[in-house]
Amino acid sequence: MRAGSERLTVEPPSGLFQRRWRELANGGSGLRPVKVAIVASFTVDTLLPYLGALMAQRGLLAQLTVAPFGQIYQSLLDPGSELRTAGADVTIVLPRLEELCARPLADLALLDPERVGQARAEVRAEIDRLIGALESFEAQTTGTILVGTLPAPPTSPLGVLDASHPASLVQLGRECNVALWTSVQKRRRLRLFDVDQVIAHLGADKAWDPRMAAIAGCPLSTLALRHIADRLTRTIAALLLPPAKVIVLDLDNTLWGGIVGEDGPSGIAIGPTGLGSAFAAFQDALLALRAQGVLLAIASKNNEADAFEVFDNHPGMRIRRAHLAAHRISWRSKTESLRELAAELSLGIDSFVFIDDSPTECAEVRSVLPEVTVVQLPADAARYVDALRAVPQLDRMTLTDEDRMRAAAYAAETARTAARAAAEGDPDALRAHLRALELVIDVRRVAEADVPRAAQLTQKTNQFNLTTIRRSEADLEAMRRDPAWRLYALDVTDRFGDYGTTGLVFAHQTDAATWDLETVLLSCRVLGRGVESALLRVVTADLTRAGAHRLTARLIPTKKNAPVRDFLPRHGFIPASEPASRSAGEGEAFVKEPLPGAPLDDGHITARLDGRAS
Amino acid sequence: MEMTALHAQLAALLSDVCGAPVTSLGPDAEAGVTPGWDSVANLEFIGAIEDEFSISITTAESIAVKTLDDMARLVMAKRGSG
Repeated sequence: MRAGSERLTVEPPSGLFQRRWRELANGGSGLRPVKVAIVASFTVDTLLPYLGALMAQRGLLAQLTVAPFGQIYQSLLDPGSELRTAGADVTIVLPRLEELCARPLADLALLDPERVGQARAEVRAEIDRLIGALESFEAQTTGTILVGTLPAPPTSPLGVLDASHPASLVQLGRECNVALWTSVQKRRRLRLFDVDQVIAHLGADKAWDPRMAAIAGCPLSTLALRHIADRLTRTIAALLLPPAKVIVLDLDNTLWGGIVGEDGPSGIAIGPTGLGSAFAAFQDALLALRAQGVLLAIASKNNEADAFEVFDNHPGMRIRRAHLAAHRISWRSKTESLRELAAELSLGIDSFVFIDDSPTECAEVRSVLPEVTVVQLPADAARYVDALRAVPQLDRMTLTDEDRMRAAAYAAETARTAARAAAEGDPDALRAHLRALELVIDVRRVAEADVPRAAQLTQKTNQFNLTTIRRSEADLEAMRRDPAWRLYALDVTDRFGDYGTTGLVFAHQTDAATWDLETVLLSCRVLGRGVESALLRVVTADLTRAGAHRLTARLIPTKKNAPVRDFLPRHGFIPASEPASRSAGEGEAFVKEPLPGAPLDDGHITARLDGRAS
Repeated sequence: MEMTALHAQLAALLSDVCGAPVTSLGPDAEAGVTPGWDSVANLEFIGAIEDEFSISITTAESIAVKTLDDMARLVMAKRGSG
């Protein structure tokens, strides 16, 4: 936590939010600035302290632009509007039918059968117009646009009859939301934000406050504003921050009820009925996260044989041995186990979520490994799923093919590791092993469809990463359109499987003959196979064709990027005698000329550029 | 409750939501004039008072209240009546 000391939740008192928000106005040092623009069909000034204070808790400093309320169309469409010129990373659009379609809604309420159909058609046309304006805004800007769903009106003039009447307001709202949802399916930067769901969660009578509408022009209660700010914060953080990569689980009273070492495999609660069904639901929720790319691992104080008896043979288990990326089942401390799991999986321990029912274990991990996200389960197993869904580090706003395939990729990696271990210590055997891998690398320019994965790689890659410069999708969109940049993505396959897009090079032309390799990164999954040499060879050849005679690059050392330290010297780069003018910055400057330089030892790799042999 | 004690308690609540120091919030402090005490802060203030004293304040009452002293009188009357 950065600002202030007391952890904010969505609970009162609200004075705390106001105070935190005022403190942030004086700087908010150490926070990452994020430009957020907001336009709504009602007054949203009341939302801002909550949003700012909650974002600060995730390390984000909201730099807000608020468009005049009720000017959604002008703000989206006028090239000179505050919203269009804000250059926001995230633009929030909060429409309501009551303001957007006041006239047809008034017509609907009069129930003139002649007018009902027409009024409904007018509302739908208005939503189409909104969608058109949003699409036009997306085409003209580079950030992400979060569009609030249309909340069901708090009351309907028809009362209980609304549910079945042709003039139903609630049903009309649903139809409009389906239209919004349909329109964002093919638009990557236009995303929905479910206001309606937040209100449903609170209950309409708590979410709407007619006093607020009368006095502040904002129809939502302060409670609803807090919950909306909380959901917005989770959404924005999921857009900008790397999600957790691994969930490390305890076993007894976490994955199942009871203690397998004492109660025996037949005495534990896991299965379709009774208390066991609560644990089964929790396991299903974990498997759903695994399908989104989170790895599951175990850290348990148990006898390994007892635990695997349950994973392998208990009929009620949902999670099986094959679902686990790694495990430490022994009598050592949880913090030791966590460190070992991080080493085994080659993942930073700050990307770990630790889940345990024991307050003692949770306290130990919190104090020894504060970078781990710790989730202490509540006393009631029926609440475990809620506890899991409340972990914001598990939120994600994009789901790439790599995410969906990750768990399977780790299984393939186990097979590779076994093959490699057989060749360990013998250079000839190692070379033969690399040849037998049948590595193929495909280098291509980053296309629009690659942008989410490329942004994700810049966010998540810590080890083989020259400069560790993080990029948002909006950054990459802007760079893609700039002819001074060439963005390359790398796909790697071998005979065990497809690694997917696992490497990037961002080259920036600094003068007619010079390109700066601003970013070179590889996912740790493809290290140790000479892939970086082949990637550099292909990129160098392409830049040479573009007129490059000289390459420059910087190494910015971090705590984690030891694996990339010798990359530049090993490939013919020498320390630059004077900082290359435009790439001058932190880190150590390197230069390589002439190009392409000495041949590289990457004969075991088939390399292609844009699908052609290189 | 003494009026002065009530003033102090209300000033503390108001200070939290509007950011003005408690010492600047005397009985004459006025909504729309005292820095930070705008319509939004006023709603937060009313919400805090409702929670604190277990009373309910209507829209008309909240519009009629201009000063901290007005609010103290309103709270006193509501508490007195039950």
